[in-house]
Amino acid sequence: MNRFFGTLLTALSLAGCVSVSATKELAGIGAEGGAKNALVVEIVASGWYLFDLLPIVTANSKGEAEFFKDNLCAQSNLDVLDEIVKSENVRRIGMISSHETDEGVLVFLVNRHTFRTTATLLKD
Amino acid sequence: MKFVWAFLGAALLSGCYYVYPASSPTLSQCRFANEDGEIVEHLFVENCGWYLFYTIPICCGDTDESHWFPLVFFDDQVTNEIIQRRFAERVKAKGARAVGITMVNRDTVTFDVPGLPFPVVVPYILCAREVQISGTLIRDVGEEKRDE
Repeated sequence: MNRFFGTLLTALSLAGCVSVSATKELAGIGAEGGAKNALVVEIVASGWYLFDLLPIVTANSKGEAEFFKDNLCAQSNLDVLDEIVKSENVRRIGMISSHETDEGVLVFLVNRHTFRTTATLLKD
Repeated sequence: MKFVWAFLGAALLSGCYYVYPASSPTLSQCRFANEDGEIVEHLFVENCGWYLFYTIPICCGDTDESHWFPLVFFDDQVTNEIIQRRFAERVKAKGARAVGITMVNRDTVTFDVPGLPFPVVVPYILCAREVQISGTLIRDVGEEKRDE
């Protein structure tokens, strides 16, 4: 039984994570306002909740899993975006959009929340 | 019977209303597309609830933040109108205008049950519904700040 809970906790801690995808494949096609290069960024943060309410493990803006702390919010994703804007020296933003998805596992006992923020960063 | 009570209890806990404002000093120095003005914040508002027969609200997140209890019963608060109104109130309170607004509406009628290799469909008996809206608040430079 202890082994089962150990495995479950390990799986949950691995599952609360942040993935950042920043693609430059749209470079050179021209974007909004005459920008020559567009950098499309998607920040996906996920976490597990008990009864859809109590956080078991969630990812923070550094990509670390934190237990019993609710890190899934727009501010956490924007902190990640902030770092990308700084590193890419972006001066103009085309679009920022956020949405959240929930997946119920074991009926309503455990829920996985995913908070996504997509942004188009414009570079001249 | 215990399972049914646990099921209903968990379902009732699941109606939630969230307002997530997010700001950053770096982003506020950027321009938003061809808009003039500074980026004040990125705003995300969400509400979700449970419905019987797809139409009767059982339990929803309470969008009135002055109430201490976060849920309302038999009161439909997961609507585009209410969520857009709450979004607009926040924008007005900030003395800003909103650009790049996106909305997401989602209904769920399938539920995972342990041991079953497929999700159980409970069509029109029990339904989870959510409405989300996000946008970026921009304030013209020099305009008076009117934080709530």
